[in-house]
Amino acid sequence: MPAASLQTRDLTFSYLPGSPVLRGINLEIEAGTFTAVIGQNGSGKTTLMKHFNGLLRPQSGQVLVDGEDISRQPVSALARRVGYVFQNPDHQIFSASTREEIAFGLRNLGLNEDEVQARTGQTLEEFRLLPFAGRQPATLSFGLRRKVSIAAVFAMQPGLLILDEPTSGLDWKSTRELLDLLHARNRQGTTILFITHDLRLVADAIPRCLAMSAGQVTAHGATREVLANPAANGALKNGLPPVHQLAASLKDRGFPEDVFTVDDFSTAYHAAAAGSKPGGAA
Amino acid sequence: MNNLGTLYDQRESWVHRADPRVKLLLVAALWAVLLLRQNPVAILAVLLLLHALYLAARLPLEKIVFIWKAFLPMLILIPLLWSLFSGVGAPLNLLGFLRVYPQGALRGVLLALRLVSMAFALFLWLYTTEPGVMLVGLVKLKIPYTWVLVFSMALHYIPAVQALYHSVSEAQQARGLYLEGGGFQRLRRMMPILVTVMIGGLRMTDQLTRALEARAFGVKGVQRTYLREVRMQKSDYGVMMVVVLSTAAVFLLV
Repeated sequence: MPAASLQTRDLTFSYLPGSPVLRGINLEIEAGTFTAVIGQNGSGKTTLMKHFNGLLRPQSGQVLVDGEDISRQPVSALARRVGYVFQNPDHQIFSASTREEIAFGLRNLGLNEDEVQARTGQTLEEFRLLPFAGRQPATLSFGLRRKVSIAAVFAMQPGLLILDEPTSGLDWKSTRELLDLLHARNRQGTTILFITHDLRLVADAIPRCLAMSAGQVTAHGATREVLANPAANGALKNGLPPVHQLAASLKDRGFPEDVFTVDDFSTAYHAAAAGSKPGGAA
Repeated sequence: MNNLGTLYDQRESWVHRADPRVKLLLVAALWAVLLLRQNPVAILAVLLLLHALYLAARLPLEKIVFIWKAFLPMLILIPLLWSLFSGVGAPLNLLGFLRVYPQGALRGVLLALRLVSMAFALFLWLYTTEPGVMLVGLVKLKIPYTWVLVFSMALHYIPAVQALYHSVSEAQQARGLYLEGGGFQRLRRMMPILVTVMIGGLRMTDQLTRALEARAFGVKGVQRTYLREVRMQKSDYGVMMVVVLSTAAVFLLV
């Protein structure tokens, strides 16, 4: 699965005339990167992502996947290169068994049956869904349905994988498991875009970050830089991690401003403790 | 009541202001004429009257086009089948082997136009009546509240199911489902969408039932009150008279 890169040029879009949802997006996502997409509800995250697999077409501007304009390619053809996991797993689950659900996309790709079975088995194992392989996916619990919906797109091995709030409704353990799977994929080269409101997760586990506000990209780069960037304020209104607020309240004790994770805090704490005891631990 | 996700199209017009019961009477009268009278002039007159009412209600042209478009297959298929198989009137021999019935075709056209008119009449009521007012109007007609609620929720859920269909279609295409093309092949390819929507519909029903029960729906011995009141105005009585008299005239004269 060769990694896919992504570019947009002056991309604009509106659902209703006169109220633009995307206002001139110029973006470059390099192949093999893992990027969190953050921003308040209505900032245009999902609308932008839907342009990347052709579900929406730019009203002006361009979208390029691997340098190639995708405006003339149907969604079903782009599915080979761009995987998209929707917010609601119930919008895609229809098969009589979990195994069939995962095989569906692979058959659409025109793979031969051996390959379909091999990849399905491998994906079921990767996602620890083997015990549920024969069950009707629509009757599984929400957490499991979400897993199935992600696994089904994973199995297609797209070069670019877009996930729209894949962790909403998942507990912390399942969230971490999903992140581990995504990191493994990313190490193999897949480019990942991950829409989320969970800034604690972003700070902890996602290396790059794209902040959106009112239909524009306000900051894009390494996660720590974006979180510390005042331009990203609009997107950060959902709340930086509590540990950041704690550190900010301890500013006069020498805590730096760029504390976003527990590890950051721990480092800052030790530094501050060392500073307050002259001649202490060096 | 929240008008999002309903068919109601809020405008300032006397059709909108009219009492929901009077409008329902109008629908009933038009349906009676359409179903009981086969006179082509009567059918065309009703169709014209309905278009005039849509314009009077200041409904956008798209609503009219929408209904015509929805009935397009019937407008083609019914006359076609009637011209081939109805056996009405004298047949014409075409190319020696094909028998067509010109009078049958004409009947088919009228039949299709009747169906279109019936839809126009019903949708006039749905487009111009606020859901809350509609509900109270029906209750005042002594229709059991439970039935009225079920009816109004069914209307509410048409747009909801449409939205669900749209999302599901997007999700399945994103998994490589190829939808282009036509005919039975396309219908077969649509199964992953239709099944998913059906499961979603069942899930919605289940959640809705629980939500209703959680809010004590169906408790016995409760005196219901309503936020909206409907009262017949002088103009409503006027419209009612016009509807009753003109319908009676049509039945007596045509």
